[in-house]
Amino acid sequence: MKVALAASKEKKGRTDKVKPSVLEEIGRFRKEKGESYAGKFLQRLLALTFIKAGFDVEAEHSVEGPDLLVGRFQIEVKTTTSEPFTIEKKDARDIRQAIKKGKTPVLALLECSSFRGWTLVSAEGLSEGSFSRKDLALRRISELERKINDHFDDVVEAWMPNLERAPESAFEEMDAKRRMGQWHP
Amino acid sequence: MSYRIERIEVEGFRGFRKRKELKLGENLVIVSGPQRSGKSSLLNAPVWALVGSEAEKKELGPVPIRERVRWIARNLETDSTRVKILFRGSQGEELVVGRSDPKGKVTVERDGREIKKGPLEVLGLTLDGLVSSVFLPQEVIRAALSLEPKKRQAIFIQLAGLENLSTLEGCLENARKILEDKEKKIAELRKHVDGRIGGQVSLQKRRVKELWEKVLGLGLSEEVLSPDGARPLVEQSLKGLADFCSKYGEKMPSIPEVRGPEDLPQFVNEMRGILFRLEAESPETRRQRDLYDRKRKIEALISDLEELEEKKQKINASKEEILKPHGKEEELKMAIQELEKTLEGLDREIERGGKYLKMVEEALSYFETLPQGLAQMECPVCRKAKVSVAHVREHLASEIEKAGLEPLRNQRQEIEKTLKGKKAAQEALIHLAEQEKKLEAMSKELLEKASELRGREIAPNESLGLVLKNMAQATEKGLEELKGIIEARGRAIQGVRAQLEKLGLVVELHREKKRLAELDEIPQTPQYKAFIETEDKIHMQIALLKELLKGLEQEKMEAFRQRFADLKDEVNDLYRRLLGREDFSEVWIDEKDWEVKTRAGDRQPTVIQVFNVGDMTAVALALFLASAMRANHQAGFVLLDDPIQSLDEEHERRLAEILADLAQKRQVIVSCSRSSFVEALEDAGTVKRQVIRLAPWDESRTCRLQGEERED
Repeated sequence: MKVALAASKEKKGRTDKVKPSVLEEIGRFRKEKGESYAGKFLQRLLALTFIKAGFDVEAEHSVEGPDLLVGRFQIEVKTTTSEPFTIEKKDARDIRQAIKKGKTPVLALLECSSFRGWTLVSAEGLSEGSFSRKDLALRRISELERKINDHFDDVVEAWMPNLERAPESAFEEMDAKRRMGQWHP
Repeated sequence: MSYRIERIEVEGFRGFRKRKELKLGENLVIVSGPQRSGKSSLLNAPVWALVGSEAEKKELGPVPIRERVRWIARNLETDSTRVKILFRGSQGEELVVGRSDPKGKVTVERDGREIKKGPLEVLGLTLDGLVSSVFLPQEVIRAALSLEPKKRQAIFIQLAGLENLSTLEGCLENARKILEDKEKKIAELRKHVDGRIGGQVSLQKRRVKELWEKVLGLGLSEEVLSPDGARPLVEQSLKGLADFCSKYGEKMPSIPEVRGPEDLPQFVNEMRGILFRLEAESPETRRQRDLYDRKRKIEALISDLEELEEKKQKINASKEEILKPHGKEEELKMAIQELEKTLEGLDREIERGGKYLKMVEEALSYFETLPQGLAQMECPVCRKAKVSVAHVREHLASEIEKAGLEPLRNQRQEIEKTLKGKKAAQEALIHLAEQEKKLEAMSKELLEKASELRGREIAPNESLGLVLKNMAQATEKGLEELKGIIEARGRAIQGVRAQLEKLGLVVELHREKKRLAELDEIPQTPQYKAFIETEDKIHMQIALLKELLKGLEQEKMEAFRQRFADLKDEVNDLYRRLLGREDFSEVWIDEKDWEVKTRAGDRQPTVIQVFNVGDMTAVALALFLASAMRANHQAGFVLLDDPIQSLDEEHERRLAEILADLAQKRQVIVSCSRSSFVEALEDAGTVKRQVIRLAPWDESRTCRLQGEERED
């Protein structure tokens, strides 16, 4: 699968995996706040990461609709403690609709016990069910993955103090920044 | 190129205990004979030669054969088995396959030369292909229709000649399993490694957090960790050191310059060393150390002196005790001399008495030598007449003893005892004198040491004890005076040290944060990356294999459809010729559930649902024979072991016609016990045929031809 990507504004060349200390913070945050609550934050942090990586994030929905709209990508975000990743009915429906709208459906997967960071795979043709990383191996969009993982650590490290201090207001602030096309608090 | 069977040689195989050689000259070979005559043994011989122990398993290819459980090729009365099959190729070539047991040796010869190929390989066959298109044992005929779906599928795939695709599928499936095992191990290892790194990170973060709390608790801000943030602390430490040096007249030591945070650890270490030296090496501290040393020495001298005095007192008391019974030391000496003189006089008297006694003894010895008359003498002591010389000697010696020697000896003994006591006292006094002398030397040494410690000689009129006491008091006073000075200096150093310790904490925080950063770098190390890449590669390979398997399955199904579309006419032609039913117009294999179905008007039931046993046999034969006619391997023969089960005479005749037709293309070797079928085969078609008639089983316990004489 060939995927055209927006050019990254920065080139760091440091990381294509999540720092263990960042992962530890995410893990702690998930443990304290609960999986689904923390999931919303991780989705928003991913949106800011896309901005930091040089993409335009058109929309981010935490309740209805696709999780993220980034250029021609419609992204469903899935975070778990460990494999497998589950695609539910609603996700499968969103994937089908994305194709109808001419978008490329993408799954952004984060396994919170691995330093691999985000795995981004094409969701075209995927239906509901449980999938391990090896099931999705041929669908990986490696270039996009690298761009996101290059910046994710920085975004988490920048926002984590605010998230720990006052998660709700940080959540709002993150959204405001996203709308302005900024990523830093 | 296709091969037909020209000769079968058997020995010790199944029913053939004795060696038997059979020539198969024609295209239709009918093996007839009653039950147990050896028909199946004969048809199984080429199969055993081709596949060996595979023929003894409960599954022959994909087909489970209940009757094959614990099937034994060897005749039970023989120790070995030997089968040799001669195949003749369409161009006249000769292929000989021989197999023997228990050595398990198999040989394949082409035109008399041994070749390094397996017998199945030479014929372009697989085991599954053999069962689906060459050898149809009686147990398998209907089983193909009623096996479980997966086994049915395997048989139909073989019938379609797609065994290569199945083999490929098996290989890919196997590769996938191996990769999945590897993937599982790597995933477990990665989880373990990730867990260990995660644990280290948690620990390190806790350390950093604790240090942060300590740093903030000291009133420091987060800025201390910035590149220049620790500079004020460095400057404060240096200023404290400079103030101290100036106050106490110390020379300011040289300290390495701090250009950045990386120089901080060395700075803190140097400063710590300097502060330690300043504390340990000041003149006051040295003086204090000297005074403590002096104090310890004085105390030792006092202790020695006390010990010396005590010993002297003990010696004097001992002397007094010894002399108590002897008076003064001089009197003891004189008494010893007097006693020694008396002892000498007594010794002289005793010696004289001894000499007199010896003279009497010599005189009496002389009398003893005189003539007998002289022995009649009177004893001069007891006046007894006529006594012997011995009597006189005894009485005279006794009288001499009584007269002087015995008292003298008693007196000597007394004097000697007294003298011994006095001499012992004298010796004890000498020993005490020696000890006194040693004490004197020690006393002198003590005096010298005390003088040295004092710095001037102690005069004879001075008391050493008193001198030492004064010295101890003076030392104690000196120490008391120093204590205050040293404590004040220590407090000053402590102030500088406290500044430095703040900096030390910052250095520690720097170090721990660096360690945390190093842990963060582990996932970026080439080793960890290689690890993940391997895992990704395996994921990719598994996914690719899955895709391949999916594609292969589709391909296989497509090929099967295609192949059976081609075969369908032939199968149905044979089905109609064999069964001739109008109500069930055709049969076909439904690949959705791998069932053989038939058509009855609008309904499409499976043959198992609607056919009787005889009809099902006919369907199975139609499938097998159609496949055998189309098979593209080089085995140009078909082995049919008693195929007419449950067929009536009419159907037997139809089958005989079909087999006679098939024999135009391939060699057909068919066995049967029923005479009606043998006759039908003898009458069918125009093809040349050969009938091998086997004799009934009898006491000779070996299969043989009809009319052949028993060897035993």
